[in-house]
Amino acid sequence: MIQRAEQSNIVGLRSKDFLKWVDENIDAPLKRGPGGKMLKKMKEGLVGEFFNWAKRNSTWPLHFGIMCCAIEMAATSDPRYDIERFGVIYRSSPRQCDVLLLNGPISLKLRPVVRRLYEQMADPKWVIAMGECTICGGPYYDSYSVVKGSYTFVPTDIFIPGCPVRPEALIDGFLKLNAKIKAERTGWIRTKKGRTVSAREGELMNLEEGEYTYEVPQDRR
Amino acid sequence: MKSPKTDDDLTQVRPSGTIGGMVRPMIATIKQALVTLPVVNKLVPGGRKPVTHLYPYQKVELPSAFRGQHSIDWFKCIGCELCAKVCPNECIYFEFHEIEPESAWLHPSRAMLDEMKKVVRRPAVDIGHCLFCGNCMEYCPTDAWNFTQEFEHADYAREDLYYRSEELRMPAENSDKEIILINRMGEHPICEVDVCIGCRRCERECPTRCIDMPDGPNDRKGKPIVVPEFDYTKCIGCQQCVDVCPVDCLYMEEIGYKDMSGFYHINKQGEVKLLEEQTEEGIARAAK
Repeated sequence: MIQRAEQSNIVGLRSKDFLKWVDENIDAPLKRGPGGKMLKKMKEGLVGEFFNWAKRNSTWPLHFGIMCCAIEMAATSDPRYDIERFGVIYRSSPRQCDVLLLNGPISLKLRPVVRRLYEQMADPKWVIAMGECTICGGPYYDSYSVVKGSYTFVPTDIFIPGCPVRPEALIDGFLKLNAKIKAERTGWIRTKKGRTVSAREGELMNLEEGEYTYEVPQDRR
Repeated sequence: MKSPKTDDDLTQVRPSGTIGGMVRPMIATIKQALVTLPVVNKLVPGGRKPVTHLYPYQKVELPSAFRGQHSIDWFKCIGCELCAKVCPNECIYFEFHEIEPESAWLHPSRAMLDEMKKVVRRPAVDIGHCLFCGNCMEYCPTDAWNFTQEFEHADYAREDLYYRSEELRMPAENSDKEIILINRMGEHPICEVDVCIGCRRCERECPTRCIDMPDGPNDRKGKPIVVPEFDYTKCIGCQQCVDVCPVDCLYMEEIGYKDMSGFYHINKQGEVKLLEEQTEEGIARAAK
């Protein structure tokens, strides 16, 4: 049994909390010192670029097939459309993954499981909605048991329409995710129609309200 | 090396450490490597090509019937909303465009015939909800609906998957501008003359102008009521007249098959008859 006084000393296990703790207790005293400016440059320039490069070239998705689009997901990793050329390796555990690749209609029974898988993944994490069933329910949009889109409960970054999605289209989706991670520094990215949206993960979602916000962030050009 | 098949083979000690045990697998490995190496495979007999398509740089040739991005020929589209009716996902919706008179878009639509109307209807699609089943293309009576080979629709926001009608417009130079009206639904409207009130709404709504309104039976005051008469060779089965009818006197019935002598018609009793016979009987029944 952990005492209450002791509880306050335990750092939260969530990576965002840990980063906040590092900022408060390690970064802030260092910045106040003489090498603060240099440290900032190092962290944002060289090291940041390196981490960005590493992140966008190893987007490991979760090997989690829901319905028929999972066949295309399997076809994407075969020698013909070798997706490992882009560092996309399917992993079986959410602890090792960066991308939650949802393919198929999410029933009400599956929704808490998907949400839990999303919570179990380590930050930073992205969600790809593959196929129309995941985007908006697809042919089951009228059904009593199908969720109307993955964006209603997890912050979805890439939407790939198609029924089913071609393997090339899935590769294209991963390349667009790469572009999104690359644009993290500026924070803005252009959609196919030329509109500017936020490139930061989960920015377009307001999970506290429980709904996907259709508000477009201010255009900065 | 042989694969073990008999008991004697299994009991034999596998040669290891000898020249045969080391060299033979080595030769097999080198042979395999040479056969699949990018440059050497052309020189070696039995060499194979690499199977991987370098996708973003080298695109796979798609079949000609592949259904990718929608593209609608605005010269051919008559705005009959048949595509929205046959769509299983109900992802097609219509947008109204106000245009100048004598515009090229007006040509086939009913707006040309109605001088007061300056509005044309053109389809828009929610690509994030589309099944890509091709029903809209299959049932389009004027062949206005087409699909391109584009499949890279992936996007960062859900609302960008709603494609407006102008974004789906086919370039004018790709269109041959020849319209042939074909009834692909296999249905046409039938009127119950007793119920009809002669409001002329169906005549106004019909996109192909196949409805004529001659005098029908008399009303209570002795005046004749105008009743729709359909030219079934022009009818495309779009159900516009059925939708607008205020008293539900129109209903759709199946057409049998097309013959050299004209359209055939299957009535509710399952008898196949020529359309002329059917209409004559109907007129006779109405006269009684």
